[in-house]
Amino acid sequence: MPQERLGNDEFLSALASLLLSTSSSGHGSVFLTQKPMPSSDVSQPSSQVLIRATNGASSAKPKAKPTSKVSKPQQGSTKQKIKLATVVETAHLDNFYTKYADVCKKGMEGLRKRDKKRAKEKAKAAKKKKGTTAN
Amino acid sequence: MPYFSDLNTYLHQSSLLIQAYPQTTRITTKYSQPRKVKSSKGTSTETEATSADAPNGTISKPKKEPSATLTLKTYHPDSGICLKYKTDKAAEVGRLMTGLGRLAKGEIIDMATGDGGETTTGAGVEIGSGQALVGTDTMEVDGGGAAGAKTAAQMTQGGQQQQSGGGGKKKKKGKK
Repeated sequence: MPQERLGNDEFLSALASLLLSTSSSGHGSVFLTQKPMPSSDVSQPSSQVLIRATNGASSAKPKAKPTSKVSKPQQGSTKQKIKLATVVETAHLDNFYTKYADVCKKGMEGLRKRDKKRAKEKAKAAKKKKGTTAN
Repeated sequence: MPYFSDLNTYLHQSSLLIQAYPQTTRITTKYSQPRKVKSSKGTSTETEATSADAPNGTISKPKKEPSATLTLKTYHPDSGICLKYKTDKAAEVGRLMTGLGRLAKGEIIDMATGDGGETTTGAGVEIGSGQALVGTDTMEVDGGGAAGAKTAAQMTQGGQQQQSGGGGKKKKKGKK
């Protein structure tokens, strides 16, 4: 089944909204996968990287039509499966990953923030202990 | 397979696996949010209290709640090798993504500094290795150190690209 592939920028904005919807729903996962683009010529190293994102929902069956979703939600809050994919040229990897990282940093808000208060105390303690070994 | 405790170790090992099987190895990053504690058990007042304690967050996530986690897996399906790393620190996302970018390019990531093993960038490598010496404890604390590591990585990236035939020297990164 050929998967529909988005352009790099489209993918990133779709990923941003996927992450946003995940964090606003308060529960859920986002899976990001990267692998070399499978090429027909095995001996040649692939010059493209395939990047996929999904929310991991299991309702990807074709019978889950958009109409039935509105009229009768079958199992309460069954999530629609979201699948995104894009292909990045190796030459554009740096650029893409910079943006990709930004999207992830913004989207993954549930992670622990750096605790500045505690960090300061820790830093002080470390300074006292180690002196100037750090530099 | 156990989890690696250190991001650099994970990246290093992953780069070796990718070097061995460049075509079939894949990396999956899973961002997982735990189910929120139901507020029906009278925890709503507690939640309010905690969020009042920490008014710095735009997200009203109390500190006591389990945070979201980020799990990385480098998997080679034929051999079944799976390398894993798990973190819950927002500060690591940037470094992590930089690492994934370099893995996507098939670079070898060095164990100590996280650089490509090329010593073309003296200053950058120094910063990086200094940070590695201090260890993980200080890494999460020291914002300057992390920034240093990032620049080091970036600098090495530039070097790597040049040596690999200059495959598109895109260095127009939005500097902040």
